Amino acid sequence: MTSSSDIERRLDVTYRYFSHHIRTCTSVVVAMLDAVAEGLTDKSMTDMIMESGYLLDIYDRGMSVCFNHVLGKPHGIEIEEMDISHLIELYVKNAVSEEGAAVTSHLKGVKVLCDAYSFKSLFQILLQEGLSSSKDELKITHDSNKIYILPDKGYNEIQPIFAIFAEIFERTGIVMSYDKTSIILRFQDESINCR
Amino acid sequence: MRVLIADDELRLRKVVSLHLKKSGFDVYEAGNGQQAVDMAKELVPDIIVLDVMMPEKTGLEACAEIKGIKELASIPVVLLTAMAESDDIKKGREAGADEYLTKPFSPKELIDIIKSRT
Repeated sequence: MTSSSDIERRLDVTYRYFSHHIRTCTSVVVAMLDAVAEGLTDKSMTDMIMESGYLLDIYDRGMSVCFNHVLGKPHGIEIEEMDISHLIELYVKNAVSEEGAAVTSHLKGVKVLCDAYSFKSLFQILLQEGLSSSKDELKITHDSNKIYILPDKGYNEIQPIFAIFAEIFERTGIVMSYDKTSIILRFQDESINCR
Repeated sequence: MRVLIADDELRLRKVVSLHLKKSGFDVYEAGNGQQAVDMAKELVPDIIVLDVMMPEKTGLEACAEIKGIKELASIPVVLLTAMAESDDIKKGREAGADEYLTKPFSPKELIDIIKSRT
């Protein structure tokens, strides 16, 4: 049984992580809109508003998933088949700046069974963590039943929130492991389909 | 007037730099806390703006290190942070920060602070 002090610590970890990112994305939007109002922007700037808006949505969903998990609220898991390459394409299209590191995906045709709502949010947050740590390239690959998220220079830091993400993935049999070089999601053999 | 701004979020760095440049400042950008310390030693800027949650070295650590260097100690440091709780502000003051601006902020707020400190 989880003690109240442990719940408090985990809520604090969740709040600090998401508060930082949501406030940072909001700052970008506020500052960009000011720039737009002053006629300072070009297309790359307005793209950044869209990207920050997209990330705000991902972080908001991720925060909701994590708070509900930490608080032990009942959750309905809806297992769906997810095309990983489509999810990565969605992330790249909506959240990756042309000026930053590139995202290279080697997962064409890889489909996984997962709880779509939580997986979609948390996986994209992991991609964003990987991208933030990458200098030139974030590589996403797979090998058998594992998906690897690999920043070219390794991870800047291991975020305490990763432990909570791992617990959430574990609910649907996905084992998340991580170190300074990679994040690995290991699926049950029957939950990953590589055609 | 030279401003060193450190934030690991490229988009925020870029847009804040844009506003500062428009206001006539020379802007130098760092992507993490260690880079901020290294650039501060090299540039000796007029003011330093540090995000708190950064890789390599946090803004609090970078601030404390900068304030511990005799040649840099008098440079005003503005901490730019998402952490709005009073305890976090206290930590910023203890690290030697001169100002503390909570995200989200308007660029005008930051520019006003920079002008008042330089």
